[in-house]
Amino acid sequence: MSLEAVKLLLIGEAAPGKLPESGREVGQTHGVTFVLEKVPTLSEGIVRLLQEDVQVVFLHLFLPDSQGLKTFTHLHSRCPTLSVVVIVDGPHRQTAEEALVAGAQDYLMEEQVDPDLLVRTARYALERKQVDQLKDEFVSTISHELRTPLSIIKEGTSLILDGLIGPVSDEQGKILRISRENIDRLAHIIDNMLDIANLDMGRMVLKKQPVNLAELIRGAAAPFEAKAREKGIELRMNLPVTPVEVEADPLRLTQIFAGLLENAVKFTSEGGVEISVSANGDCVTCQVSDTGVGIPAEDLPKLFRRFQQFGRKYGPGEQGTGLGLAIAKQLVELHGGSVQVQSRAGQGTQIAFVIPRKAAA
Amino acid sequence: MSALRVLVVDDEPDFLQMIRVRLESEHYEVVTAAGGREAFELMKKFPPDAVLLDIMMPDMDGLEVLRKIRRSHKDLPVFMLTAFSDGKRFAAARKLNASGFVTKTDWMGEGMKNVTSALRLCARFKSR
Repeated sequence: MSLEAVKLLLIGEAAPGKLPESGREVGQTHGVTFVLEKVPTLSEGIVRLLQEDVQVVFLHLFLPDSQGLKTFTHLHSRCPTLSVVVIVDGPHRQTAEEALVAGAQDYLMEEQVDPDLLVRTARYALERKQVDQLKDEFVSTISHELRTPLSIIKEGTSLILDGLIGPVSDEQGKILRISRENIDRLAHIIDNMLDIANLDMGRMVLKKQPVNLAELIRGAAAPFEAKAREKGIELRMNLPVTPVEVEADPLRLTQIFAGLLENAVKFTSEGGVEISVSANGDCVTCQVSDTGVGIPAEDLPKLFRRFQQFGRKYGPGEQGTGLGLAIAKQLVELHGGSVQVQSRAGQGTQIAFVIPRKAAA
Repeated sequence: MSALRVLVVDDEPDFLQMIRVRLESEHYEVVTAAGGREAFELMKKFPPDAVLLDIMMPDMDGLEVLRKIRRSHKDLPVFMLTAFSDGKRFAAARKLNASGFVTKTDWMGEGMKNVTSALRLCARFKSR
């Protein structure tokens, strides 16, 4: 095998007879040889990916051991930085398009697969991956660079507000407090962008430790109590009497709750927001429900997408980054869990996530 | 009790100015250096009671400065100033017996006020 070989992995059956045997060259382009490995099932595919340096995966979404979108999401959560092109047959184009939204690079129709198409698609997928990586690096660098001056501005504003530079009038104080709130807002956006870039690059590493869930939730909810009071809504906690312990990254788990609570409080103007926890066997389910505006069915699939600003549509004057829920979902998945949402326009929203109590070894 | 003398080492002059006002308002004597070399010269002239040291600097890396400080000052409180969480550097600084870590960009919290609470701890030890 030449040094310039790019390894492709086909998981599942496609174009039988048209493709070479597993481990053989499938084509060449621009002086690069493409070698195609083949495995029939998702579980074998994941084992192979852990052993070998595969650059592009062609993943049939309907396999003996996994069918549908979850075939992709499962692989993607295990190998978040890998380029994955999904393959479906004619009737399942819709599922392939959902996989694109969830992070697949591209999709192919099973009927059209041949060596030439595989090689071309792999090359484009690799190029796109490179561009994505550059973008993520850029966002990451920029975010770091923005933090330093912003922290200096914040500290300067705080010094004046704390009266260390001289007396501050009520009016001046008011303006400075608004400035500082907006510095915090900008900082929040920068932190979110950095998180997204790190999640995309697979650089987000969880620092898992035993966490008392009730204690963590009280801490996570505290910053939202004032806002809830201000809006005249209730913020209730329905926590189990016996302590529930989970193995998780406390900082990130707090961030997940903050993401859910921020939205719940934002879109609720009557009634309240409730956080509840129930432990069931090896898992724990956490739910944030509200009696807010709810989400129409057609918008539900977009809820966890980045930069979705439902706020602009449903309520005036409340801006977010549109990243909170997207990050929360990815962080839950990084903990080996999943998120479910139930909502109807005008009838409130329930977002629940399930995470394993003990971290996978 | 005389004022606690704090040496702050950071390559951002604006940051130094801000932290000086904050610390002086809390009655610390503040000496600032823009880098490792300057820090060592100042340490000879004005021996500090505590050091706040930027973990990442262009001229001499914060970890390198810490290593050099530890050669002559085993027990001097040295707090590492960090702009963001960096596990590898934290671990390296811990090995070099850093006294603690202070985030410069504690956005949601109280900003640089957490520096002063760390220093208050040093002051208590000094007055014993």
